[in-house]
This record gives sequence, C-alpha cells and structure tokens, in this order.
Amino acid sequence: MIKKQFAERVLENRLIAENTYLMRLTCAEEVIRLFRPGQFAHIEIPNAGELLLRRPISINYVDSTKKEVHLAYNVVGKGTERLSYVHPNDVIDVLMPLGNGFQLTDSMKKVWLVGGGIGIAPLKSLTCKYPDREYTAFLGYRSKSCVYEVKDFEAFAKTYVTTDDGSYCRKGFCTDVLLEEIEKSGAPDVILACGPHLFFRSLARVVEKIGGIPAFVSLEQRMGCGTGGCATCVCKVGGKHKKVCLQGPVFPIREVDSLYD
Amino acid sequence: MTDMRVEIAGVELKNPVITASGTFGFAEEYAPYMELSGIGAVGLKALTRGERQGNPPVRIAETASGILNSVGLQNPGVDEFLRTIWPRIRNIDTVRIANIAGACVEDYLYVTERLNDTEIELYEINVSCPNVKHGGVNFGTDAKTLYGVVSEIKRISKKPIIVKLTPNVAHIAEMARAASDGGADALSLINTLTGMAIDAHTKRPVLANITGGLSGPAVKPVALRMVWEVYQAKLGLPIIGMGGIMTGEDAAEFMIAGADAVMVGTATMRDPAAAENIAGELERFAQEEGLQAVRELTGSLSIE
Repeated sequence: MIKKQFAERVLENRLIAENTYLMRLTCAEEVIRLFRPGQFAHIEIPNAGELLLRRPISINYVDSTKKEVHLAYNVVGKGTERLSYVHPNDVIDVLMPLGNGFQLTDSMKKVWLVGGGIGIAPLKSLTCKYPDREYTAFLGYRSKSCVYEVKDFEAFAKTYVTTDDGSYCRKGFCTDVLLEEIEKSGAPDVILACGPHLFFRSLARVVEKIGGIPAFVSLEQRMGCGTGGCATCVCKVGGKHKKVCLQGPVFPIREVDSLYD
Repeated sequence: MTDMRVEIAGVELKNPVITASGTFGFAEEYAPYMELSGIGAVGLKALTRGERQGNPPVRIAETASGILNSVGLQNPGVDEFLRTIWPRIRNIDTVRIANIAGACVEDYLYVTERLNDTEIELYEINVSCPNVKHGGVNFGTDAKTLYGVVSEIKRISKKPIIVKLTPNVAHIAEMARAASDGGADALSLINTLTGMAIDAHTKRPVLANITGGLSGPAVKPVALRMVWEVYQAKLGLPIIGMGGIMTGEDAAEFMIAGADAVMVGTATMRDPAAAENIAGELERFAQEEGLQAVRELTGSLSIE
C-alpha cells in the first residue's frame, strides 16, 4: 500500500511577499521518493471550526537532504487565512503528493517554465526531479510587492521577470517575452506553465502562433476530497470533465477546452 | 467485545459504517488511505444507463459546517463500469452497494438488469439526486411516482434494494411508506438538502449550476429528525441513516434515532480514512456503553 496521508510538523510559515506565505514541513521518505514536480499537497486546516474542506496547495520544493517539503500559497479566503496563522511545531494532516505532475521525456532538454503569480511556486520544483535540463523561466507578478523566489529561479534558469504595473523589472505580461525569446534563441522542446486562467489563454495564443511545441498547464479548480472520490474538481479537457486532483492538475494546453472557446 | 455486525435486507455487514455514494468514487481510489475491509460496505458512485459528464464546474462550495455540491451524476455509464472498473473492485473484501440512477423508469431498469449478474450484494436506488433535472428527484418527491419506480425495479431486481430518500419533501415518512409499499427492502436517508451559495462581491452564485446539495454537520439535526420520523412509522424495513456524520458518536446518534446502519459522506472529503476511523470510534463507544451488540443501539432513544 502506498501511504499518502501524513501528520507533518511545521518548521516555518512566513510571509515572503504581499499576501504570499512559504510553509516548510517535515516530510516522509516516501514523499521524496514519489514526488513529481507539479504535484500538490491537500492540507487539513488546523482549528478550522466550520470549514470542512482541505486546501490544495502546490508543492514548491522538496529538499531530499533535509527531508522537507515547501509549499507557497496566497491568502485568498478564510481557509488560507487560518493556514497563515499556523506556527512552527504545529502538526498538520497532509495528503501528498497528489496529482499527476509535470513529466519530462529524455528528449526534452530545453525547458521553458512560464508562471504567473502563485502559479510560479510549483515550477521551482522541476529542478528537484530534473536538475540537468536547460531552463528558461518567465515569471509574471502583479507588482513589486508580490515578487518572490526570483533568486531561486536565477540559480538554475535564465530568468525573465515582468510585473503587470511595471514596478519591478519589465512592465507587461510574461507571455509577451516568450515570442521575443523565440526569435532570439529559438523554440524550446517543451513549455510548462502554471497561473491564472487569463494567463493560460494568452499562453494558448502564443503556443498556437509558434505551433508544434508541446505545452502543459497545471489547472486549478475548487476541490473537495483531492483523492478522486467526489468528482467536484473537474475541468473540461478534450471534451470530457476530468478530475483535476487525480487526472490532473497537469494537462496538455491544447486539450483544455476553456482556453479556446 | 461488542458484536459489530448488522444485517441489511439479509446481507450481513461486519460493522454498520458504509461510505455514502458519490463521496467514495468506486472505492479503489481509497485503497492508499485505508483498509477497505475495515468498513461494513462501500457505496459506489451512481451509475446511469449511458455516460454522463455531469454539471459544469464550479461544482463545490464550502458553507458553514457544510458543503454544497452540484456534480450531477458524472459517471462512465453502467456498461463501461462493468467493462473496466468492476473487474478491478470485484475482489474487495467488503459488501458492495451499487447506486442506480436514471432519468426515466427504463433507465433504472436497464442499469438494474446489467448489474443483476454481478456479485454486487445490494442496490441503492437513487430517486433523490437534486442536481439533475431528471436525476430522480422527481421520482423521490411524489409518493405515487416513487411507488411506481420502486415496484418496477423490484420486479426485475435480483438483489435487495435500498431506496435513498430525499429530505426535500414535506413528509418524509409518507415517502418512506410509498417506497416500502413499492417493495423496498431497506431505506437510506437523507440525500442532500437543496441549497445555494452566493458571492456577495460578484453577485454571482458560487456553483455554476446555481443550486446544489447541502451535506455535512450543518444538516445533521435535520437528518436525525427524519430518521427518527421514519423509524416511528414502523415500516419494518432496515434504515441506513446519514447526514453530517463525522465521528463514531454521530453514528451512534443516528442508530439511537432508529438507524440499523449509517453512511459517511462529507467526512471522507475531509479525511479519506474517515469511514474506517468512524467504525473504530463506534466500536469503542459501544464497548464503553457495555453493549453486547451494536444493534442494541437501534431505536434506543429514551423519551421520558
């Protein structure tokens, strides 16, 4: 039996940018062994009172030496607000690692990571599993106060940063930079992306324009169990309602119907 | 040691805790989280004649101590289930309950017939899904129609049938009686209460389907009252109670109100091992109460 439910100790839970927290947790050997980038943790909110549901949070990084898992999240409602109050040494119930994650074939050497906002977080974990690829990162933040982990990306990837309001680095959307980079240094073998829906739509247009490059997106949906049992977290992919928690969250961009309607 | 066995329509369950249909997939999803053999039975996801994609997302909203869902009976259809899923779960070591849904009587009969030659032990007839226009709720809210569909299914069914009742009616006991008259072998209640959630900022409903079914501890008092009413109607049928059961003590309360067994649904969405844990808690409760058998709890409500 593959165990996926753990009681883990919080090592740190701190504000790293506006409304953005980084939580470090202890993690079992099994999680390190099973982990694939793009997977998520489904967290039971401690002392949640009337809030019954867990919160799905993407895995930001897995440190196999220290045996830690890092999660980055935005406070967007009551549940994540309460999660932000969790203290070091608190023990939380976590289901992980869940979902399919990003998978690279051996021939995918030149990898582009395209992230928007909190969607940037899971892309950092690509290096945990595939350290020896040629990465370029395109990171889009709302504004300077929301910027996090740029240095971490710069350590393993050629990194371009944009902000919506131009308060840090270049003004605009990171998808704008993609086309320029293609002209400059050619197309990649694969594009991996995570971000909000509108961001995916503009990415979809870019991918259509350049044509022929495999591109995968990690989708978000209001989720129930996280284990495939309740069928609430679906998105329409290839004409069918697919469970984001079990069949996703990563899907080929061309199959995500809502990006092309 | 308390005897935890209970019997539902001639089928023995090793304990009274069953997973509620629609919250436990086809059971195989839960093998990484619990021992399936640790629970009395698994309630499988509703099956319809053909494949159903269900309602568009968003399909879930969190409300105070509750959850609204509007899945809309998404399932691969009974034929695909038999071809691909059933072979994988036919050997699980607990009782299997298939949930049968349809838009018309012929649909129910088709699914029933297709399942008749499997080793599935029990059928649960879904006449109460609130999320589909013709998802059975029409069958479940009118006594005469309910009687009709139950008697038709009973005529061809090779397994005992449990009729799942909707709480969205004026008199639940009347519906229970209609199901009983139609030939039901057991009753399960309650399905979800129709509700809605609104985002005040956007002035939009949270669910794409606008309305959904409410479950979780928020509905427990309503569910307990309804189980008690149906028990008092003395129909002589086993009752499976559900509605917001999160702990073994919650399960005991349903049995005290008159249930022979219980179903756990929303709790699984919080903790995938909830049903197994609740079965353990119920056993400890029964031992502490000094019961010889857990079935002594059924209908033990003490009214001065």
